[in-house]
Amino acid sequence: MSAPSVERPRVIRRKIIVPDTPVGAAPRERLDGLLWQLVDAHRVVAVTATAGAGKSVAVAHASRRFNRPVAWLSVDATDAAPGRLVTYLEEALAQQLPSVRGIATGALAAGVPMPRRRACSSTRPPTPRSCLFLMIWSGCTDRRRRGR
Amino acid sequence: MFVLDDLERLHGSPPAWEVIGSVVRYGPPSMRLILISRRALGASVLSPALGAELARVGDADLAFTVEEAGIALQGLGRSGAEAPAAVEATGGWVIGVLFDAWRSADHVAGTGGGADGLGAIWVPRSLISSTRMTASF
Repeated sequence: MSAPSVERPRVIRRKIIVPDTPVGAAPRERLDGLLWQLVDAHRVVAVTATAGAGKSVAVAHASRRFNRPVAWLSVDATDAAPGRLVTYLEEALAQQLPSVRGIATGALAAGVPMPRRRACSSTRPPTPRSCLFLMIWSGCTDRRRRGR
Repeated sequence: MFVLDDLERLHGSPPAWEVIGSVVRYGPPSMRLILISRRALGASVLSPALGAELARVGDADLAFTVEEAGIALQGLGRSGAEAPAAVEATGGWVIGVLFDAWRSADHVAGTGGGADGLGAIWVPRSLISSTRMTASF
C-alpha cells in the first residue's frame, strides 16, 4: 500500500533552490575552505556583511562542495507573515527531506498542540519530523501565547 | 545543511524573527544552519546561549584579497594589475572592485560599502540590484 500523498503547497521555486553563481565568477578557494571549516565545527554560521560583499555567492559556491545535502530558502518581504514563512521553511527542507512535507503546516492548520521539547534533546535521538515540527511550531505558539 | 538567505528582508517583523529563532534553537543537532543577512542578527535569533555553536563570517572574511581581485578582474577581461589599487581603495569590497567604484571621484579611498552598503559610492542602485538578481537566481 502506498503512503498517502501530501499535497504540495504552491511556492516560488527559485526561492528554494541554491542560486546559481554568476557565470565566470572567480573561484575562491580561501572562502570555500573557511566556510567548510566553520560549517564542520559549528551548528550555526552567521554570514552578515554589507550589500555587494558576495555573501550569497560565496555560500552558494561553497555549498556545492560540501558533503551535505543543502536546503536553501531566499526569504523576501512577503515572508514576514509567519504562516507563509513556515510554508516556505517546510517546503525548502522538503527538497532534501520529503518526509517533512506537511508536518508543520498541517499541524498549524489542525491546531495541534506543541510537542514536548525533549523531542530534540540530546538524550533522545531526534527525528527530522519531530525537530521540524518543534522548531517551527514552537516559534508560532510562543508568539500566540504572548498574544501577538 | 539549511541556508536562509536575505534575512534582512524580515526586518520589522518580530513574528517572523521568532519563527527563525525557533529554527535556530530547535534545529536537529545534525543540521547545520547558515544565516545570511545584510543586517546584524539580533539576540532573538543568535542567543548568547549558542556559545561555541555559533561562528560568524563578516565583511573582512568576504573581502577580496589582491590575488582574488586580480583573478576576478582578469575574468572580466581586464588587467589583473589593477587589483592592488582596487583592493586598497575599496578594502576588498567585492562589488566595488568589480564595478570600478574605486575610480569614482566621489569615492573615499579605503572604504567599501559602508555600514549600510550602498550609500558611499557611485555604483547605481539599479546596477547593484540587477547584479544581485543575477547572483541570486
